[in-house]
Amino acid sequence: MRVSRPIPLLQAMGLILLVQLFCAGPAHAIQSHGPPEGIYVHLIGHVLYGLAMLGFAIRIRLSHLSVRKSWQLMALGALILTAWNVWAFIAHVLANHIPATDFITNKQGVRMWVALHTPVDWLYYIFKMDHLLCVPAILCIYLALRRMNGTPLMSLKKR
Amino acid sequence: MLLSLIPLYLIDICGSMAMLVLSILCMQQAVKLYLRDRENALSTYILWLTSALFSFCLIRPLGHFVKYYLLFTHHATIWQKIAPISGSLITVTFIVIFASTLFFGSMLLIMNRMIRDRKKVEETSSQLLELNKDIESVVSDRTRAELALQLAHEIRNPVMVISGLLHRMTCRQEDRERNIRYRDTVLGQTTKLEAIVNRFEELQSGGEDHFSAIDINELTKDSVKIIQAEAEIKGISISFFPAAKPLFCRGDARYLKVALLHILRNALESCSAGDSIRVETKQVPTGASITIIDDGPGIPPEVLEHIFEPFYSTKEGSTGLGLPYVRQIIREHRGEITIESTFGQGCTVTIILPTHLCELQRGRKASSP
Repeated sequence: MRVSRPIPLLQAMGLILLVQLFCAGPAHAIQSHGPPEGIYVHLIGHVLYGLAMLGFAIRIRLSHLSVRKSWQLMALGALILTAWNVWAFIAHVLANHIPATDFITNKQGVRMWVALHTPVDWLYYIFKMDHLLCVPAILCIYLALRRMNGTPLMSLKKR
Repeated sequence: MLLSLIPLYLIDICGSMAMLVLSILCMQQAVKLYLRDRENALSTYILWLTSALFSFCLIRPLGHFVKYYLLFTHHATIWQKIAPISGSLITVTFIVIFASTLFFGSMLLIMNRMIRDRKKVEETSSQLLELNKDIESVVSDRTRAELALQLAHEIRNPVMVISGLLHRMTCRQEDRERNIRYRDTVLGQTTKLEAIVNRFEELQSGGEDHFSAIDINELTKDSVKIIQAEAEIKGISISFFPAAKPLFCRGDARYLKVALLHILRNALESCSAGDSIRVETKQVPTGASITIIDDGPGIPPEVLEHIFEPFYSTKEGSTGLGLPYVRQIIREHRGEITIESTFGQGCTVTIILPTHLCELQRGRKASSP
Protein backbone atom coordinates (compact mmCIF):
# COMPACT_ATOMS: atom_id res chain seq x y z
CA MET A 1 0.00 0.00 0.00
CA ARG A 2 1.34 3.40 -0.92
CA VAL A 3 1.24 6.18 1.71
CA SER A 4 1.34 9.82 0.53
CA ARG A 5 3.96 11.86 2.40
CA PRO A 6 3.60 15.60 3.19
CA ILE A 7 5.55 18.00 1.04
CA PRO A 8 8.82 19.06 2.79
CA LEU A 9 8.23 22.77 1.94
CA LEU A 10 4.92 22.86 3.82
CA GLN A 11 6.51 21.15 6.78
CA ALA A 12 9.20 23.80 6.87
CA MET A 13 6.63 26.64 6.72
CA GLY A 14 4.67 25.12 9.58
CA LEU A 15 7.81 24.91 11.66
CA ILE A 16 8.64 28.58 10.98
CA LEU A 17 5.13 29.65 12.07
CA LEU A 18 5.45 27.62 15.25
CA VAL A 19 8.75 29.25 16.09
CA GLN A 20 7.21 32.69 15.36
CA LEU A 21 4.52 32.03 17.99
CA PHE A 22 7.16 31.76 20.70
CA CYS A 23 8.84 34.97 19.58
CA ALA A 24 5.70 37.20 19.41
CA GLY A 25 6.06 40.90 20.16
CA PRO A 26 3.39 43.09 21.89
CA ALA A 27 0.09 42.91 20.00
CA HIS A 28 -1.33 46.16 21.49
CA ALA A 29 -4.64 44.40 22.03
CA ILE A 30 -5.37 46.14 25.29
CA GLN A 31 -5.74 49.87 24.90
CA SER A 32 -5.06 51.97 27.93
CA HIS A 33 -7.57 54.70 28.83
CA GLY A 34 -6.61 58.18 29.81
CA PRO A 35 -8.38 60.44 32.35
CA PRO A 36 -10.79 62.28 29.96
CA GLU A 37 -12.56 59.01 29.10
CA GLY A 38 -14.33 58.98 32.47
CA ILE A 39 -16.13 62.23 31.76
CA TYR A 40 -16.93 61.13 28.20
CA VAL A 41 -18.50 57.91 29.45
CA HIS A 42 -20.44 59.89 32.06
CA LEU A 43 -21.69 62.30 29.39
CA ILE A 44 -22.69 59.38 27.14
CA GLY A 45 -24.48 57.95 30.19
CA HIS A 46 -26.42 61.23 30.52
CA VAL A 47 -27.37 61.07 26.83
CA LEU A 48 -28.59 57.49 27.15
CA TYR A 49 -30.45 58.23 30.39
CA GLY A 50 -32.07 61.28 28.82
CA LEU A 51 -33.09 59.38 25.68
CA ALA A 52 -34.45 56.50 27.78
CA MET A 53 -36.61 58.85 29.84
CA LEU A 54 -37.80 60.68 26.72
CA GLY A 55 -38.70 57.36 25.08
CA PHE A 56 -40.44 56.22 28.24
CA ALA A 57 -42.55 59.40 28.38
CA ILE A 58 -43.44 59.17 24.67
CA ARG A 59 -44.45 55.51 24.99
CA ILE A 60 -46.71 56.36 27.92
CA ARG A 61 -48.27 59.23 25.97
CA LEU A 62 -48.91 57.00 22.96
CA SER A 63 -50.31 54.08 24.96
CA HIS A 64 -53.76 53.72 26.51
CA LEU A 65 -52.09 54.26 29.91
CA SER A 66 -51.95 58.00 29.24
CA VAL A 67 -55.60 58.39 30.24
CA ARG A 68 -54.68 57.60 33.82
CA LYS A 69 -53.52 60.38 36.12
CA SER A 70 -50.85 58.13 37.68
CA TRP A 71 -49.22 57.45 34.31
CA GLN A 72 -49.53 61.10 33.33
CA LEU A 73 -47.49 61.94 36.44
CA MET A 74 -44.99 59.19 35.57
CA ALA A 75 -44.59 60.65 32.07
CA LEU A 76 -44.15 64.14 33.55
CA GLY A 77 -41.47 62.81 35.91
CA ALA A 78 -39.69 61.13 32.98
CA LEU A 79 -39.82 64.37 30.95
CA ILE A 80 -38.36 66.38 33.83
CA LEU A 81 -35.61 63.77 34.17
CA THR A 82 -34.91 64.21 30.43
CA ALA A 83 -34.58 67.94 31.03
CA TRP A 84 -32.35 67.25 34.05
CA ASN A 85 -30.04 65.11 31.90
CA VAL A 86 -29.71 67.93 29.37
CA TRP A 87 -29.13 70.35 32.25
CA ALA A 88 -26.49 68.10 33.87
CA PHE A 89 -24.80 67.48 30.51
CA ILE A 90 -24.42 71.23 29.98
CA ALA A 91 -23.22 71.67 33.58
CA HIS A 92 -20.49 69.04 33.06
CA VAL A 93 -19.35 70.65 29.81
CA LEU A 94 -19.32 74.13 31.39
CA ALA A 95 -17.36 72.85 34.42
CA ASN A 96 -14.56 71.83 32.07
CA HIS A 97 -14.39 75.38 30.74
CA ILE A 98 -13.97 77.11 34.10
CA PRO A 99 -10.31 77.44 35.03
CA ALA A 100 -9.32 76.39 38.54
CA THR A 101 -7.96 79.90 39.13
CA ASP A 102 -11.52 81.30 39.12
CA PHE A 103 -12.19 79.58 42.42
CA ILE A 104 -11.13 81.03 45.74
CA THR A 105 -10.54 78.50 48.50
CA ASN A 106 -10.52 78.89 52.26
CA LYS A 107 -7.66 77.95 54.53
CA GLN A 108 -8.67 74.27 54.39
CA GLY A 109 -8.60 74.23 50.59
CA VAL A 110 -12.38 74.11 50.11
CA ARG A 111 -13.68 76.22 47.24
CA MET A 112 -15.78 78.99 48.80
CA TRP A 113 -16.11 81.63 46.09
CA VAL A 114 -16.13 81.78 42.35
CA ALA A 115 -15.13 84.69 40.18
CA LEU A 116 -17.76 85.34 37.51
CA HIS A 117 -16.08 87.13 34.63
CA THR A 118 -17.86 85.85 31.54
CA PRO A 119 -21.41 84.67 30.68
CA VAL A 120 -20.03 81.10 30.74
CA ASP A 121 -19.09 81.57 34.39
CA TRP A 122 -22.63 82.76 35.14
CA LEU A 123 -24.11 79.84 33.26
CA TYR A 124 -21.90 77.47 35.23
CA TYR A 125 -23.17 78.96 38.49
CA ILE A 126 -26.80 78.56 37.40
CA PHE A 127 -26.41 75.08 35.92
CA LYS A 128 -24.80 73.79 39.11
CA MET A 129 -28.26 73.94 40.72
CA ASP A 130 -29.44 70.78 38.97
CA HIS A 131 -31.36 69.53 42.02
CA LEU A 132 -34.02 72.09 41.18
CA LEU A 133 -35.00 69.76 38.36
CA CYS A 134 -33.99 66.39 39.73
CA VAL A 135 -36.04 66.59 42.95
CA PRO A 136 -39.36 67.55 41.26
CA ALA A 137 -38.84 64.68 38.81
CA ILE A 138 -38.47 62.11 41.58
CA LEU A 139 -41.39 63.74 43.41
CA CYS A 140 -43.59 63.25 40.31
CA ILE A 141 -42.56 59.58 40.12
CA TYR A 142 -43.34 59.13 43.81
CA LEU A 143 -46.79 60.72 43.39
CA ALA A 144 -47.40 58.53 40.33
CA LEU A 145 -46.54 55.36 42.24
CA ARG A 146 -48.66 56.42 45.20
CA ARG A 147 -51.62 57.03 42.90
CA MET A 148 -51.06 53.66 41.20
CA ASN A 149 -51.41 52.01 44.58
CA GLY A 150 -54.74 53.73 45.09
CA THR A 151 -56.25 52.69 41.74
CA PRO A 152 -56.56 49.36 39.89
CA LEU A 153 -53.49 48.57 37.85
CA MET A 154 -53.69 47.34 34.23
CA SER A 155 -54.31 43.84 35.41
CA LEU A 156 -55.06 40.32 34.29
CA LYS A 157 -57.00 39.65 37.45
CA LYS A 158 -60.72 40.29 37.63
CA ARG A 159 -61.45 43.10 40.03
CA MET B 1 -17.53 89.62 40.44
CA LEU B 2 -17.16 87.14 43.27
CA LEU B 3 -20.04 84.93 44.26
CA SER B 4 -20.20 82.61 47.23
CA LEU B 5 -20.48 78.90 46.53
CA ILE B 6 -22.35 78.32 49.82
CA PRO B 7 -25.83 78.64 48.20
CA LEU B 8 -24.79 75.98 45.68
CA TYR B 9 -23.58 73.70 48.46
CA LEU B 10 -26.81 74.23 50.42
CA ILE B 11 -28.99 73.46 47.39
CA ASP B 12 -26.87 70.40 46.67
CA ILE B 13 -27.08 69.04 50.24
CA CYS B 14 -30.80 69.77 50.64
CA GLY B 15 -31.53 68.38 47.15
CA SER B 16 -29.53 65.25 47.85
CA MET B 17 -31.41 64.70 51.11
CA ALA B 18 -34.74 65.21 49.37
CA MET B 19 -33.76 62.77 46.63
CA LEU B 20 -32.71 60.18 49.16
CA VAL B 21 -35.98 60.44 51.07
CA LEU B 22 -38.10 60.48 47.91
CA SER B 23 -36.29 57.51 46.40
CA ILE B 24 -36.88 55.46 49.58
CA LEU B 25 -40.57 56.43 49.43
CA CYS B 26 -40.69 55.49 45.72
CA MET B 27 -39.16 52.11 46.46
CA GLN B 28 -41.66 51.54 49.26
CA GLN B 29 -44.56 52.33 46.91
CA ALA B 30 -43.15 50.11 44.14
CA VAL B 31 -42.76 47.15 46.53
CA LYS B 32 -46.30 47.74 47.80
CA LEU B 33 -47.56 47.78 44.22
CA TYR B 34 -45.68 44.58 43.41
CA LEU B 35 -46.94 42.79 46.52
CA ARG B 36 -50.50 43.74 45.60
CA ASP B 37 -50.32 41.62 42.46
CA ARG B 38 -47.12 39.60 42.09
CA GLU B 39 -48.26 38.01 38.81
CA ASN B 40 -48.80 41.37 37.12
CA ALA B 41 -46.12 42.06 34.51
CA LEU B 42 -46.61 45.81 34.78
CA SER B 43 -46.13 45.97 38.55
CA THR B 44 -43.05 43.74 38.21
CA TYR B 45 -41.66 46.06 35.55
CA ILE B 46 -42.37 49.14 37.69
CA LEU B 47 -40.44 47.48 40.52
CA TRP B 48 -37.43 46.94 38.23
CA LEU B 49 -37.48 50.49 36.91
CA THR B 50 -37.96 52.01 40.35
CA SER B 51 -35.09 49.88 41.66
CA ALA B 52 -32.84 51.24 38.91
CA LEU B 53 -33.94 54.81 39.69
CA PHE B 54 -33.53 54.09 43.39
CA SER B 55 -29.93 52.96 42.87
CA PHE B 56 -29.24 56.24 41.04
CA CYS B 57 -31.01 58.33 43.69
CA LEU B 58 -29.11 56.49 46.43
CA ILE B 59 -25.58 56.49 45.00
CA ARG B 60 -25.60 60.11 43.82
CA PRO B 61 -26.68 61.79 47.10
CA LEU B 62 -24.48 59.45 49.13
CA GLY B 63 -21.54 60.44 46.94
CA HIS B 64 -22.37 64.11 47.51
CA PHE B 65 -22.63 63.66 51.27
CA VAL B 66 -19.30 61.85 51.41
CA LYS B 67 -17.76 64.59 49.26
CA TYR B 68 -18.91 67.40 51.57
CA TYR B 69 -17.98 65.47 54.67
CA LEU B 70 -14.46 64.81 53.43
CA LEU B 71 -13.98 68.35 52.10
CA PHE B 72 -15.11 70.05 55.29
CA THR B 73 -13.15 67.65 57.49
CA HIS B 74 -9.95 68.44 55.59
CA HIS B 75 -9.76 65.07 53.78
CA ALA B 76 -9.89 66.43 50.24
CA THR B 77 -7.21 64.00 49.11
CA ILE B 78 -9.34 61.01 50.11
CA TRP B 79 -12.22 62.45 48.12
CA GLN B 80 -9.98 62.81 45.09
CA LYS B 81 -9.39 59.07 45.26
CA ILE B 82 -13.06 58.18 45.85
CA ALA B 83 -14.55 60.62 43.29
CA PRO B 84 -13.82 58.48 40.19
CA ILE B 85 -15.45 55.43 41.83
CA SER B 86 -18.55 57.44 42.81
CA GLY B 87 -18.78 58.93 39.30
CA SER B 88 -18.40 55.50 37.69
CA LEU B 89 -21.11 53.99 39.87
CA ILE B 90 -23.47 56.82 38.94
CA THR B 91 -22.70 56.20 35.25
CA VAL B 92 -23.47 52.50 35.71
CA THR B 93 -26.88 53.41 37.18
CA PHE B 94 -27.54 55.55 34.07
CA ILE B 95 -26.91 52.51 31.87
CA VAL B 96 -29.08 50.28 34.08
CA ILE B 97 -31.96 52.80 33.85
CA PHE B 98 -31.48 53.01 30.08
CA ALA B 99 -31.54 49.21 29.75
CA SER B 100 -34.63 48.86 31.99
CA THR B 101 -36.53 51.43 29.93
CA LEU B 102 -35.85 49.53 26.71
CA PHE B 103 -38.19 46.75 27.87
CA PHE B 104 -41.15 49.03 28.50
CA GLY B 105 -42.52 48.83 24.96
CA SER B 106 -42.24 45.04 24.82
CA MET B 107 -43.80 44.75 28.25
CA LEU B 108 -46.77 46.89 27.19
CA LEU B 109 -47.23 44.72 24.09
CA ILE B 110 -47.21 41.54 26.19
CA MET B 111 -49.68 43.00 28.66
CA ASN B 112 -52.03 44.14 25.90
CA ARG B 113 -51.88 40.75 24.20
CA MET B 114 -52.58 38.95 27.47
CA ILE B 115 -55.52 41.20 28.29
CA ARG B 116 -56.95 40.81 24.78
CA ASP B 117 -56.66 37.03 24.97
CA ARG B 118 -58.25 36.98 28.41
CA LYS B 119 -61.20 39.01 27.11
CA LYS B 120 -61.56 36.61 24.19
CA VAL B 121 -61.57 33.59 26.49
CA GLU B 122 -64.09 35.26 28.78
CA GLU B 123 -66.31 36.13 25.83
CA THR B 124 -66.16 32.59 24.44
CA SER B 125 -66.81 31.15 27.87
CA SER B 126 -69.84 33.39 28.37
CA GLN B 127 -71.17 32.45 24.92
CA LEU B 128 -70.71 28.77 25.71
CA LEU B 129 -72.51 29.20 29.01
CA GLU B 130 -75.34 30.98 27.25
CA LEU B 131 -75.54 28.27 24.63
CA ASN B 132 -75.50 25.60 27.29
CA LYS B 133 -78.32 27.36 29.08
CA ASP B 134 -80.33 27.48 25.85
CA ILE B 135 -79.75 23.81 25.17
CA GLU B 136 -80.69 22.88 28.73
CA SER B 137 -83.85 24.90 28.43
CA VAL B 138 -84.73 23.28 25.10
CA VAL B 139 -84.09 19.79 26.49
CA SER B 140 -86.15 20.58 29.58
CA ASP B 141 -89.08 21.82 27.45
CA ARG B 142 -88.93 18.75 25.25
CA THR B 143 -88.74 16.31 28.15
CA ARG B 144 -91.64 17.96 29.91
CA ALA B 145 -93.74 17.98 26.78
CA GLU B 146 -93.02 14.34 25.98
CA LEU B 147 -93.71 13.23 29.54
CA ALA B 148 -96.98 15.10 29.66
CA LEU B 149 -98.12 13.78 26.31
CA GLN B 150 -97.23 10.18 27.14
CA LEU B 151 -98.99 10.23 30.49
CA ALA B 152 -102.03 11.98 29.15
CA HIS B 153 -102.25 9.40 26.40
CA GLU B 154 -101.93 6.45 28.77
CA ILE B 155 -104.39 7.67 31.37
CA ARG B 156 -107.02 9.20 29.15
CA ASN B 157 -108.14 5.94 27.53
CA PRO B 158 -108.91 3.95 30.72
CA VAL B 159 -110.67 6.99 32.07
CA MET B 160 -112.90 7.10 29.05
CA VAL B 161 -113.70 3.37 29.35
CA ILE B 162 -114.54 3.66 33.04
CA SER B 163 -116.72 6.65 32.46
CA GLY B 164 -118.59 4.82 29.69
CA LEU B 165 -119.20 1.77 31.85
CA LEU B 166 -120.47 3.84 34.69
CA HIS B 167 -122.93 5.53 32.46
CA ARG B 168 -124.22 2.11 31.39
CA MET B 169 -124.48 0.96 34.98
CA THR B 170 -126.52 3.94 35.88
CA CYS B 171 -128.85 3.10 33.02
CA ARG B 172 -129.46 -0.47 34.34
CA GLN B 173 -131.53 -0.42 37.46
CA GLU B 174 -131.67 -4.24 38.38
CA ASP B 175 -129.38 -4.21 41.43
CA ARG B 176 -129.67 -0.68 42.30
CA GLU B 177 -127.89 -0.60 45.65
CA ARG B 178 -124.81 -2.43 44.42
CA ASN B 179 -124.68 -0.42 41.28
CA ILE B 180 -124.83 2.76 43.25
CA ARG B 181 -121.95 1.61 45.52
CA TYR B 182 -119.83 0.59 42.57
CA ARG B 183 -120.70 3.64 40.68
CA ASP B 184 -119.61 5.88 43.55
CA THR B 185 -116.31 4.06 43.92
CA VAL B 186 -115.55 4.09 40.21
CA LEU B 187 -116.63 7.68 39.92
CA GLY B 188 -114.28 8.57 42.76
CA GLN B 189 -111.41 6.86 40.94
CA THR B 190 -112.19 8.48 37.66
CA THR B 191 -112.28 11.86 39.33
CA LYS B 192 -108.78 11.19 40.65
CA LEU B 193 -107.59 10.03 37.24
CA GLU B 194 -109.08 13.02 35.54
CA ALA B 195 -107.37 15.24 38.03
CA ILE B 196 -104.03 13.59 37.19
CA VAL B 197 -104.67 14.03 33.48
CA ASN B 198 -105.58 17.65 34.00
CA ARG B 199 -102.45 18.25 36.04
CA PHE B 200 -100.27 16.84 33.30
CA GLU B 201 -102.10 18.81 30.66
CA GLU B 202 -101.59 21.93 32.72
CA LEU B 203 -97.91 21.08 32.97
CA GLN B 204 -97.69 20.99 29.20
CA SER B 205 -99.75 24.09 28.63
CA GLY B 206 -97.94 25.86 31.47
CA GLY B 207 -94.70 25.93 29.51
CA GLU B 208 -93.57 29.41 28.63
CA ASP B 209 -94.20 30.55 25.14
CA HIS B 210 -90.81 31.84 24.01
CA PHE B 211 -92.10 32.98 20.65
CA SER B 212 -91.31 36.61 20.06
CA ALA B 213 -90.29 38.95 17.25
CA ILE B 214 -86.66 38.21 16.41
CA ASP B 215 -84.29 39.75 13.93
CA ILE B 216 -82.85 36.98 11.76
CA ASN B 217 -79.83 39.16 10.99
CA GLU B 218 -78.93 39.47 14.65
CA LEU B 219 -79.64 35.81 15.39
CA THR B 220 -77.40 34.67 12.52
CA LYS B 221 -74.68 37.16 13.48
CA ASP B 222 -74.65 35.83 17.06
CA SER B 223 -74.47 32.22 15.86
CA VAL B 224 -71.61 32.99 13.46
CA LYS B 225 -69.78 34.81 16.27
CA ILE B 226 -70.03 31.73 18.49
CA ILE B 227 -68.29 29.45 16.01
CA GLN B 228 -65.86 32.10 14.73
CA ALA B 229 -63.12 31.14 17.19
CA GLU B 230 -63.52 27.44 16.35
CA ALA B 231 -63.25 28.25 12.63
CA GLU B 232 -60.13 30.38 13.20
CA ILE B 233 -58.43 27.51 15.02
CA LYS B 234 -59.20 25.15 12.14
CA GLY B 235 -58.01 27.68 9.56
CA ILE B 236 -61.44 28.00 7.96
CA SER B 237 -62.60 31.47 6.97
CA ILE B 238 -66.17 32.29 7.84
CA SER B 239 -67.89 35.37 6.49
CA PHE B 240 -71.32 36.78 7.19
CA PHE B 241 -73.29 38.95 4.76
CA PRO B 242 -76.43 40.27 6.47
CA ALA B 243 -79.44 41.67 4.69
CA ALA B 244 -79.45 45.45 4.42
CA LYS B 245 -82.57 45.76 6.57
CA PRO B 246 -83.60 43.83 9.72
CA LEU B 247 -85.52 40.63 8.95
CA PHE B 248 -88.12 40.24 11.64
CA CYS B 249 -89.98 37.00 12.12
CA ARG B 250 -91.84 35.44 15.00
CA GLY B 251 -90.10 32.53 16.62
CA ASP B 252 -88.19 31.04 19.49
CA ALA B 253 -84.69 32.48 19.36
CA ARG B 254 -83.22 29.66 21.45
CA TYR B 255 -84.53 26.87 19.20
CA LEU B 256 -83.56 28.70 16.04
CA LYS B 257 -80.08 29.38 17.36
CA VAL B 258 -79.63 25.70 18.25
CA ALA B 259 -80.75 24.73 14.72
CA LEU B 260 -78.49 27.29 13.06
CA LEU B 261 -75.49 26.31 15.16
CA HIS B 262 -76.02 22.67 14.29
CA ILE B 263 -75.87 23.47 10.59
CA LEU B 264 -72.84 25.73 11.02
CA ARG B 265 -71.03 23.05 13.05
CA ASN B 266 -71.80 20.48 10.34
CA ALA B 267 -70.28 22.84 7.79
CA LEU B 268 -67.21 23.35 10.02
CA GLU B 269 -66.77 19.61 10.49
CA SER B 270 -66.95 18.92 6.78
CA CYS B 271 -64.53 21.71 5.80
CA SER B 272 -60.79 21.56 6.18
CA ALA B 273 -58.10 24.24 6.57
CA GLY B 274 -58.21 26.79 3.77
CA ASP B 275 -61.91 26.22 2.99
CA SER B 276 -64.48 28.92 3.53
CA ILE B 277 -68.03 29.20 4.80
CA ARG B 278 -70.29 31.98 3.58
CA VAL B 279 -73.39 32.85 5.59
CA GLU B 280 -75.91 35.30 4.21
CA THR B 281 -79.34 36.51 5.12
CA LYS B 282 -81.78 38.16 2.75
CA GLN B 283 -85.42 38.90 2.15
CA VAL B 284 -87.07 36.54 -0.34
CA PRO B 285 -90.72 36.54 -1.52
CA THR B 286 -91.55 33.68 0.85
CA GLY B 287 -89.85 35.15 3.92
CA ALA B 288 -86.43 35.60 5.47
CA SER B 289 -83.75 33.40 4.05
CA ILE B 290 -80.58 32.17 5.74
CA THR B 291 -78.09 30.53 3.42
CA ILE B 292 -74.97 28.68 4.55
CA ILE B 293 -72.62 27.86 1.72
CA ASP B 294 -69.44 25.90 2.30
CA ASP B 295 -66.83 24.78 -0.18
CA GLY B 296 -66.13 21.53 1.62
CA PRO B 297 -66.28 18.08 0.02
CA GLY B 298 -70.07 18.14 -0.40
CA ILE B 299 -72.59 15.32 0.20
CA PRO B 300 -72.90 12.22 -2.00
CA PRO B 301 -76.35 11.91 -3.66
CA GLU B 302 -77.13 8.61 -1.89
CA VAL B 303 -76.59 10.32 1.50
CA LEU B 304 -78.39 13.52 0.50
CA GLU B 305 -81.71 11.75 -0.17
CA HIS B 306 -81.77 10.31 3.39
CA ILE B 307 -80.26 13.27 5.16
CA PHE B 308 -83.41 14.25 7.09
CA GLU B 309 -84.31 10.69 8.08
CA PRO B 310 -84.04 10.00 11.82
CA PHE B 311 -81.18 7.69 12.89
CA TYR B 312 -79.53 7.98 9.48
CA SER B 313 -75.92 9.03 9.86
CA THR B 314 -72.63 8.53 8.10
CA LYS B 315 -70.65 9.81 11.08
CA GLU B 316 -69.33 7.40 13.65
CA GLY B 317 -70.86 7.94 17.08
CA SER B 318 -73.61 10.20 15.77
CA THR B 319 -77.23 9.58 16.72
CA GLY B 320 -78.51 10.69 13.35
CA LEU B 321 -81.07 12.89 15.07
CA GLY B 322 -79.37 16.25 14.47
CA LEU B 323 -80.73 17.28 11.10
CA PRO B 324 -84.21 15.75 11.68
CA TYR B 325 -84.37 17.84 14.85
CA VAL B 326 -83.23 20.93 12.94
CA ARG B 327 -85.96 20.33 10.35
CA GLN B 328 -88.54 19.85 13.11
CA ILE B 329 -87.56 23.19 14.66
CA ILE B 330 -87.80 24.96 11.29
CA ARG B 331 -91.17 23.36 10.58
CA GLU B 332 -92.47 24.39 13.99
CA HIS B 333 -91.68 27.91 12.85
CA ARG B 334 -93.66 27.27 9.65
CA GLY B 335 -90.40 27.47 7.73
CA GLU B 336 -88.57 25.32 5.22
CA ILE B 337 -85.09 23.89 5.07
CA THR B 338 -83.38 22.59 1.96
CA ILE B 339 -79.94 21.11 1.42
CA GLU B 340 -78.34 21.17 -1.99
CA SER B 341 -74.97 19.69 -2.75
CA THR B 342 -72.86 18.59 -5.66
CA PHE B 343 -70.45 15.98 -4.43
CA GLY B 344 -66.94 17.41 -4.37
CA GLN B 345 -68.13 21.01 -4.75
CA GLY B 346 -69.49 21.96 -1.36
CA CYS B 347 -72.93 22.27 0.11
CA THR B 348 -75.65 24.90 0.40
CA VAL B 349 -78.21 24.88 3.20
CA THR B 350 -81.14 27.26 2.84
CA ILE B 351 -83.60 28.05 5.60
CA ILE B 352 -86.64 30.15 4.86
CA LEU B 353 -88.67 31.51 7.75
CA PRO B 354 -91.93 33.40 7.24
CA THR B 355 -91.75 37.08 8.13
CA HIS B 356 -94.60 39.34 9.30
CA LEU B 357 -94.82 40.94 5.87
CA CYS B 358 -95.09 37.62 4.05
CA GLU B 359 -97.74 36.40 6.50
CA LEU B 360 -99.75 39.55 5.79
CA GLN B 361 -99.44 39.11 2.03
CA ARG B 362 -100.39 35.43 2.31
CA GLY B 363 -103.43 36.40 4.41
CA ARG B 364 -104.51 38.96 1.83
CA LYS B 365 -104.16 36.46 -1.01
CA ALA B 366 -106.19 33.86 0.88
CA SER B 367 -108.98 36.32 1.65
CA SER B 368 -109.16 37.71 -1.89
CA PRO B 369 -111.69 35.87 -4.22
